[in-house]
Amino acid sequence: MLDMNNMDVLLFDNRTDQSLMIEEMLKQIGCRVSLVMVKSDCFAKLINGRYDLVLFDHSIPGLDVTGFVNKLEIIDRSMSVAMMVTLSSRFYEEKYGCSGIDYLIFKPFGYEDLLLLVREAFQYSQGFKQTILNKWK
Amino acid sequence: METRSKINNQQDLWDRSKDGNRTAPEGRRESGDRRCGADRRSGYGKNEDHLLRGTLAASASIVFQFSRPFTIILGYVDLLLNKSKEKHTKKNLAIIKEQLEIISEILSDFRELDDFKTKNFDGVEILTTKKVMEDEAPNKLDRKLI
Repeated sequence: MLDMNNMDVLLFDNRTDQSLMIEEMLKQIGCRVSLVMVKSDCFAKLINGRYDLVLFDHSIPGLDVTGFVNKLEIIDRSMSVAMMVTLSSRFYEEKYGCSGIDYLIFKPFGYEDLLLLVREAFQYSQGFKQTILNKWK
Repeated sequence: METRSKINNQQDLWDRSKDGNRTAPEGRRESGDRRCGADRRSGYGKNEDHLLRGTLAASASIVFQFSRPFTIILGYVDLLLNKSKEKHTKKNLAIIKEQLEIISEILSDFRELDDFKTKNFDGVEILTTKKVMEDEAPNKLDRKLI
């Protein structure tokens, strides 16, 4: 059984109504959540602290998804990146298949879907940490 | 000898150098049908392509506009379900959630739409999605009513 009380999630969304709801759900799951609404705040948070998962919305106006994800990978490769999406899976496969996004969560989603995503991201993050520890031993 | 003459006649029909046998291709050009052979055989063409493009744009727009409000509603219903202790409220919230999940499935069908097919519903042509196809078969309740 995974204990997700130690999981840090950085939520990046420019819409207050949606972000507050997701923040509440993540807190109910047992994650520590930091909410940011601007890209610069997102990078500032990532530089100052470590996160297991970055969850952001595809529909943030003016956001260059590929550039944003590349920058995230430069800061921390072990961190999972998930994007909240609305369009067809074919579109995302073609456009962002190789961009470094680990998970897509299709809207509308509920508590169970988010729980599943957090679990998978946590497992990935823990696995990555274990690999690094084994390399240093 | 008769058989031999029949074969000769058939060969004449397929001989394109003879003027009488050129009518079919010219007719197609006059009608403006410029589809390739594969498209003609499958009955697919420019009109179908326009319809598909329009449908895909409309369905993507529906999914894009509806997804966010439904995410917020579904999320808060889930949060209320987890918090609520009263049985009656929980039951009602479960019904709302069930209906929202149906909408979610419909949106998912629209999202993955890649074909233009319609179904006649009382004289009105409606777009066929997976959900519409499932609805064709009567459910258990309908069978009981019948």
